[in-house]
Amino acid sequence: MCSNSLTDYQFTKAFKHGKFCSVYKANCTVNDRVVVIKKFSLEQEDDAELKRLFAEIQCCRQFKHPNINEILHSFIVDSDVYVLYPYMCFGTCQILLESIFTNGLPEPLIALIFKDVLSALMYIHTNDFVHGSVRAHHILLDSQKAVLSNFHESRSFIKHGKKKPVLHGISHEKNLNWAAPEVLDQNVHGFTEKCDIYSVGITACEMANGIQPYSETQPTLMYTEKIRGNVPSLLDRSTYTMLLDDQGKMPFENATTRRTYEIFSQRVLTDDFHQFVEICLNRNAENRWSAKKLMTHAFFKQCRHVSISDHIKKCRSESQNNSLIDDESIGPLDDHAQECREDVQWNF
Amino acid sequence: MQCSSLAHEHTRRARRDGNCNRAPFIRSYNKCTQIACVELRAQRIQMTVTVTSTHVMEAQAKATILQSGGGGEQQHGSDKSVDVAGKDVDLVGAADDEMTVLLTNQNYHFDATSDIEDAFVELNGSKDVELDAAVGGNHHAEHPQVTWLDDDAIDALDRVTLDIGNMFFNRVDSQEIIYQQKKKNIKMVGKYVMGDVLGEGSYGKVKEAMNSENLCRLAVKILTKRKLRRIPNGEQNVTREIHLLKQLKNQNVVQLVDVMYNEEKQKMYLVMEYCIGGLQEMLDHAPEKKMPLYQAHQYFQQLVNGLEYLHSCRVIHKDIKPGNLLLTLDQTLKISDFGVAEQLDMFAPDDTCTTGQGSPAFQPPEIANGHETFAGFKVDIWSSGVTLYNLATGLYPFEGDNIYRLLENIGRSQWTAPDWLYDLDESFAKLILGMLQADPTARLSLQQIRKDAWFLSAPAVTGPPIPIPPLKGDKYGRSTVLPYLEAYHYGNEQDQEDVYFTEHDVNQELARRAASAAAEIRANRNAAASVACHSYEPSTSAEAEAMVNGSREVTTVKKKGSGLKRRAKKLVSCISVRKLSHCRTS
Repeated sequence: MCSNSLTDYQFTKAFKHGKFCSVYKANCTVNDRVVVIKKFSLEQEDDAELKRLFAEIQCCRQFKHPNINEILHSFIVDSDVYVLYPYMCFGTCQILLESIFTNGLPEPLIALIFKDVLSALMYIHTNDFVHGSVRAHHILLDSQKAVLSNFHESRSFIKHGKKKPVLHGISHEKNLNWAAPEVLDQNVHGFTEKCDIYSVGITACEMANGIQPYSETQPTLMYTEKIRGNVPSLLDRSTYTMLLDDQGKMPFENATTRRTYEIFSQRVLTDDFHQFVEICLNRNAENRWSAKKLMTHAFFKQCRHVSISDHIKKCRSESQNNSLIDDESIGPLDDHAQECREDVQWNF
Repeated sequence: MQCSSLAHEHTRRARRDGNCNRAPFIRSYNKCTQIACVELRAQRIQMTVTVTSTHVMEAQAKATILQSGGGGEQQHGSDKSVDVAGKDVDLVGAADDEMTVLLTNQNYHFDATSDIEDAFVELNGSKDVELDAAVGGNHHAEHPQVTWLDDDAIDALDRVTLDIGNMFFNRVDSQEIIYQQKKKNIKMVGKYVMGDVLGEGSYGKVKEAMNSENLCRLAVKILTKRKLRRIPNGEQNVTREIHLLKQLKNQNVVQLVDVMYNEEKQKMYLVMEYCIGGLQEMLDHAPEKKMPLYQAHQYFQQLVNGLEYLHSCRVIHKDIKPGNLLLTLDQTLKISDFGVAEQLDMFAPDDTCTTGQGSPAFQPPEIANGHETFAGFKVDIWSSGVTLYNLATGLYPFEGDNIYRLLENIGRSQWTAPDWLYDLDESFAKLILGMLQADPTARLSLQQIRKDAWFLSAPAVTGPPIPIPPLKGDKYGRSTVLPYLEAYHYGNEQDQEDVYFTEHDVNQELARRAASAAAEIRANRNAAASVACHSYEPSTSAEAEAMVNGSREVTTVKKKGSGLKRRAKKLVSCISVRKLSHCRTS
């Protein structure tokens, strides 16, 4: 069991320092375990963030599944809430995409990750929960497995002892690009757990292409595109021409985009992967496969006899600029963050 | 002789607007701007008009399609003419965003050849109608003429004809009133994209909107200074309402998201969370105007939660009624319209109030009898009691031919629950009786209601709940902002062509909808009857309902298709009109 006292934790690194939330890596001296500690300030003008945090903690504590990021412990000291998570050495998929795999993750690694993510989704869906914000940023990796985290958007079909047939309510602004059309549409029919499957499809494109879908699109255009059934797609030899304009040229040509373009035009993603994404991004929620059925998809055949750490280690050794990542760190640590760490140490 | 020739006039409008001084040619239809027919012959006509017969179809259309939502904030009406009747001149002005142009054509046939079955107007009196012929009197009837009017011209025409203060009917063939479909041009107010009009009140319009940043659906209440000035205490009430709403934040109270002002246009925008409909509309569309007991129970519980919150904030709503209770997409009840609400002073010793301006049928005896002071919280209890009674039975505990009789009846004596109410549900009858105690001190408090046996019970599910009526025929309740966004992002690729249709089409469409609505009601009745025969099994009947819905979907789709076809056919005739030299596209 973890300790409620800050003196039992040795803060070793600050990952992020924000107005509302700061993230640290720490050693728990009681059981000698490496943990990630998120510190939230209770003194907020708007309590909406706090409510979301409490909902997340309540929700996560009901889950027990190897592919769901568990909350080890949470406690309050002074006016701050401290939430403890297990340490995941490779950090989020988004950090991997930004640091090593800038042109997308290799397909077998994506298959490995989604196998874990889908098993987590299958678990929460059978428990009548919807995650609501599946995206690369909310998938954490360590050498063994991928875990699903960030349940602050999750909703349950069960409310006041009754099970509702559908859910209503739109996603948080930051997660809109991954949201399913029926979530954005906000009509009487609402949405079901199949909205997570759509987000899986968008996330697959994000991880394969190394580009956040719709990141440079106006939200309203993203909305109408999705309503019309237009979806992003995997970029490889068969589809890279989509990046080109009418004359067959790159719209904004420079060295980086040229290189990206070359990589896309040379690589081949399997038909299974294309089909998997197509199934996930079906405009009609009823025609999307359930998480359980998706796990039987041929896309996952390539998961045999490999593990996540093999892939990442292999790629890292190939990569020239591996200075950003090592087993110890999961993100760049700037001077500002360093200062914050001093503050924290001073606190105890 | 003029009069007799007018005998079979086409005066739908006269019927519709009944006693108000509506210009005969102008009315608004949901998607298009009405265009006024301008060619009025300069002539003096002596007549009074009495409406003798109403067109059955039209009446049905009114009942089913038009919504008379009784003052709810977001009345999702599809046609404004009912609402506007008796208010004032701005019908066309109100519709300005929705429609464009009106054109008129040809000379009018002052004969009785066509559409006999339409309306009959009996002319029997003598009233001087001096018609201002300046409006565009054109005696050259040989050349068919088309005059395009923009909104301002329509508005002006409206005023001119209305200012005369009399009714004058000119015969215009419904085929000759041509509408042009308004292009969906995107309109932004701040970061909000505006959609279609949801409803209208005396203060202005309520439009749907969408936050362009987080894509949240919203409702925007648009208040114009000009209209506010005409309402007694209008501006004060609005200021108070905004002040109140800004403090309130509860699941069962409508949330004010943003307030914006446009000094130039003298408009104020209240951005609120989106509600799909109100309880009053649901009742209006339901057979016998009531809902099953378990459904009323569900809403009543939320009403009590909301009221408890309001009273804890020292706010007395004073106008609780089904029209002011709205529902969100997930069936959460929202108390809305704080126009006459009062917030007690922080240091007030008790909840004594002096003014009550709510709806008469929901007023407690102490207000009906004109007491100088009364306990404020108990006013809301009484109104909630009347509301609950109305939801579950479709009736009012007190009725009266006019407002004086009604108030007299309310104030006269203690209400007694009818025997059939005890037969329906004894504990329910007792709760109603407790809330409708004439003596405010004997009336139940919210705390007592919370402990009430019926309130705590879970009434048996006795059939499918009554649905929220579809908005403008869209049973999915989709965002009306979407067409504007599509036009903005993709250009008007799908409708480059102007779409025209005539009044005749509109009427046929109304009749068709009325017929289908009637058929639906009949089908529902049959279904209800068959459900009543068999014992109710939730799962199977839900399936059946789904099937019924499914089949209905299919039929509506088909009908829409045929409607389009009809319009397409008419297009030909309209285009031929357009070729005329006087035509000018707006």
